[in-house]
Amino acid sequence: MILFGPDLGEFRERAKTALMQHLVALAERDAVPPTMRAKYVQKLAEATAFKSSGVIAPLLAAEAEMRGATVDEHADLIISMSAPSDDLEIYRMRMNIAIDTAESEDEISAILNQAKVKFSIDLA
Amino acid sequence: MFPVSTVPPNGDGLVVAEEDLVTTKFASYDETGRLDTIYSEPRISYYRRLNAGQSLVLGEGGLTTHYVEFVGEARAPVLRVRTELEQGFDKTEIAVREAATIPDMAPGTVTFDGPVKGRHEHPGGDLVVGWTVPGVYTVTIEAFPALPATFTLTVGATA
Repeated sequence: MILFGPDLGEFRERAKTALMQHLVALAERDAVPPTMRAKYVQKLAEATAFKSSGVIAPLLAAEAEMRGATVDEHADLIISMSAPSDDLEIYRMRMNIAIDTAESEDEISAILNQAKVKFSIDLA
Repeated sequence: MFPVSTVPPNGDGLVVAEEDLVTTKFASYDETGRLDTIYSEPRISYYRRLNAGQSLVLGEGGLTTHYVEFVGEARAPVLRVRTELEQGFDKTEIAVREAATIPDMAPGTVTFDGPVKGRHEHPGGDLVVGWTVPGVYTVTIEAFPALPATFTLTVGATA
């Protein structure tokens, strides 16, 4: 018999990659350019640093002033806006663990279907 | 008879008669018998192309619907209609790693599209195939001179 497709170990790894690509595409469907997305990460780091150590970064302070909020209020806002990303990452990790512990190709396929991940390997 | 004085010069020494100007259908083919060009030209053009070394067969064929069979010891080219592939897979639903079989299949190209996409050159004999990734697969088989045949196979419990 000629068997087409990856073995279980490779299918597992490719499934996790496909899941990650699917979730990244979902997270980035707002089409925000990478430079701006990096700024969001910087703002989150500044907000987190402020909440943990009280250090006020210039960008955090300037934006809070523009919005007429305190630095503390603005840091809370930024942190709350990052929650969907956290949820997505938690979901990805949960699905990854499910894929890692799946005992068969059918189980992995069911996980991908549940996550609405379109899986494809081109052997050409 | 066609007045000889009005016959355009052909330049290759062939005598041109009236019937040589009648529109004729013919086709060129490769060494496997696949048609590659369909012609509808004066019959003299058929002879000129033959003289130039082209492999030609007289008759009205379609590129995908006909082929050339080489008949007899002389391997005379004869235009034939391509027929449907007679065999099919023994199953339409299989488990992961389970085999689907087409017994005693002529050599051909197997193309499959689904969660795993690819192509396989079948050397002839039993075609026994399976997949490791569940899903619905469209399998196209071209075992020339049979026409391409398409099958749908469902693989695995979740498909």
